[in-house]
Amino acid sequence: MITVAHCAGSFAKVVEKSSGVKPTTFPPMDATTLDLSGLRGADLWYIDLHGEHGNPAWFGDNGVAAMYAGQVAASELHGVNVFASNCFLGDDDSPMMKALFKAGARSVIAAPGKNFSPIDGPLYGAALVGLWVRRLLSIGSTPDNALRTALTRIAVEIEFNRSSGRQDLLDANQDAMEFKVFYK
Amino acid sequence: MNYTDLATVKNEILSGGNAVVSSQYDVLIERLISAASRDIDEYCAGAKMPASLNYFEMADVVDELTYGLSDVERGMVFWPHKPTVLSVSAVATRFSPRDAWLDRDVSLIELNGGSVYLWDSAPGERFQVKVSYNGGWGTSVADLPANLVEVATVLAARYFKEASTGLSDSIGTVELGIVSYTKTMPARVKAIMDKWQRVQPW
Repeated sequence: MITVAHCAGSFAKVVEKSSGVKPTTFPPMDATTLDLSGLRGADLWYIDLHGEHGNPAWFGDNGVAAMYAGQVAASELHGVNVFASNCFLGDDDSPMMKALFKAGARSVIAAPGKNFSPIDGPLYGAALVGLWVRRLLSIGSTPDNALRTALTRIAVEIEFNRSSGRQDLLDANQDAMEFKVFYK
Repeated sequence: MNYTDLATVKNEILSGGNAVVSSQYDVLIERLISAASRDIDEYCAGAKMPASLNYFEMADVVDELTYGLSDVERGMVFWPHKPTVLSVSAVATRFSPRDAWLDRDVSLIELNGGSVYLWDSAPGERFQVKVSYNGGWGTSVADLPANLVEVATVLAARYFKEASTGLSDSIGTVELGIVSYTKTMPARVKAIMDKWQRVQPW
């Protein structure tokens, strides 16, 4: 399975772990140096950038603009499944969601509102959903079934968090249960 | 294994206001029961493989090959090809066919419905598993959940009515009037079976 990953610079360690590939990071990249041509023929686009409600752009560290809706819409995403832990992508009328589908994305797995992931150490929250979704897609799951099984694994983690008293992980994992699969 | 039997299907046909079905149709009904049972297998297992036949039958399965995934720094998980796994007698893993099988300690296994969790380090993120286990829902119609028997019965009775009386579904439209067609599966049957559909790939 060919995976391509883009993320904020500070998320690189975790995204490499969850996406299984070395991500393109923002910075040093930004919207002016962005090149999405590598997405042609990919099976999965894994994204972990900052998103804002209703904003037609995603951002890297320190507010650097990573990509605009127009750039995403102009990319070639036919047949590509997208997993994004970007905040607010799963909101109603998200302009970035529209851009992904305009580019031909097969499916988008995202959650509404804010999402939570670590920047280092063991995976939890959105990053853990991404890890399981990618692994399950790699053994032939459909996006719906991959997310369903991924959330089953998150539910197991939630039980561990409850028994270990880790409220921060518990909150992030419970929030991650809101991930959904979107189709055009 | 079939998920309903002749007497149950004949009663179902009778309860639909039809006359008693003569025994001359028994061979046909038996064939339709098998067809309905295999349709249920295919729909719920999400696969059309020799091993997906009799998906719900409780059986001892030997050396089945499947994929496993490593868990987060704790162990590994895999999903044998039965809806429920009741016990595991042997597990071996390898990263790829180039590697030798490594036997695993089955006492480190935790069963959860159809998934098997092994508290041991995985040979990779994604790897091959060879597993011997007992799983499934029953060995006879009497052991099966009532709703599985009901689904198989409704489906077999429907196949019989389609063949014998030309039963079909119809829809009315302004442009075309009443159009007759045949659904591949009644909505009620599909709605029940959706709950049993295998989520993990074969």
